[in-house]
Amino acid sequence: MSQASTEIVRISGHAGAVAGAGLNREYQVCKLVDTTTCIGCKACEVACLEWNGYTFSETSFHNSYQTMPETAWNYWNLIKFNEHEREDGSMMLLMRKDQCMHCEAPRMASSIFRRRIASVVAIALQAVRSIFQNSARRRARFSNAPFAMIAYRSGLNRPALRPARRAACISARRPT
Amino acid sequence: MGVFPNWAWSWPANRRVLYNRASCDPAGKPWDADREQIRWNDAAGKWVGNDVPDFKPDSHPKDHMGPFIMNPEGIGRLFAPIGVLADGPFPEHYEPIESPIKNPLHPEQSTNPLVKKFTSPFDKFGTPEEYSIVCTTYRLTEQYHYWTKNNPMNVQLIPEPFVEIPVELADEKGIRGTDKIKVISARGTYIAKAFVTRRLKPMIIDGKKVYQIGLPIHQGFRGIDEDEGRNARTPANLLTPAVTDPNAHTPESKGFLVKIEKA
Repeated sequence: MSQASTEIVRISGHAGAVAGAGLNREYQVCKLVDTTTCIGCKACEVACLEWNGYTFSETSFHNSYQTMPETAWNYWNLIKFNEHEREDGSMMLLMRKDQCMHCEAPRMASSIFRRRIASVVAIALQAVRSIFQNSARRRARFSNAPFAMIAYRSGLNRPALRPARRAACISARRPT
Repeated sequence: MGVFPNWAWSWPANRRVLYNRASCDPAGKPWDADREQIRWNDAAGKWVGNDVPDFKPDSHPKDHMGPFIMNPEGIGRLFAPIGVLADGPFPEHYEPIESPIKNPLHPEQSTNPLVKKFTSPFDKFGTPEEYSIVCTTYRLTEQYHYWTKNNPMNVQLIPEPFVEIPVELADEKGIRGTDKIKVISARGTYIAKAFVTRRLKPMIIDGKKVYQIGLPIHQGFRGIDEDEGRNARTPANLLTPAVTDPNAHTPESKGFLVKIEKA
């Protein structure tokens, strides 16, 4: 399914009616994740990519089963692998699902963030994409991002910023 | 174990567990007081309990009547059908063809005498003196055999071949995570990146410190990354021995000997 067919819930910093809102309301889905049954197959990572119309991105091995260190602007669902020592000294892998938690009511689209960033589009069941119109406003921090899943980094006036991050920044790292 | 003598009825004599004398020690005391079936009551001079004794009711433990009352010898028997297993009626422990130790049960016959070995020039075996590390090959949940390395989505999840090695072994060899290493057996060489982990711990086997390393089989030969030159074209099965057990004919890829070095 491509992004074009998903439902737009809200657009921040937008005085008028929300373009496209309510067009696709016949389905409502929720996602339940039972981490106790996760075996770390990462099929959900692939499913997320395909559902949202993202394709292959080159990765590399970094001493872990984890696909990449953090979520990325085009990689919203990442299983984090942690080696855990049990009380008896034996080891196990703990798998934790890191994913976008912004479904129908993103906090970022409704609070202080809205005043600083020109527009935030919340797509139902998916992540929040932020679209920046003014580079000065990119200094804003996403201080109220729930679960720290979507974060904005300070100092973004530097030219080292990758173009992709400029368009949409989704990262598991807390703002620094 | 609960005994419910008034719930339904079981043949014979409403007895719930056959040979229940075996639940007591030779003196007639239950092995497990929480799961008592019957016991010897010395004052009454008979077997009593929750269950109906499957025994001569007044046979004193001192008389040593065996609990398996239907066998003339009074004790249990092991049963094995003839001709099912090629290497004997009962299972026996043999060491792998390549093992870091001699079989402690019978060092003179350490390995299974009936394994099938091939005789090509590639079918060589290493000694623990030269190849001291135990290697196990396995599959990953992200990949299906050798097919999915042609699917970009699976390649993305596990992009490069790796070898899981214990932290202690990595320290000894000066290897850090993501370093390229060579895994060498008597039959071939495999090149991959080191995955240094605490999950594989050194083992003490028959007094010897033995390391085990783990090697996923999926990469090598041809695939997206291999064709683009990012991964070595060395399949993991170049390392494994082509010896098969005499019953299931499964190759011995879970236990064979290798050594490692930096590539």
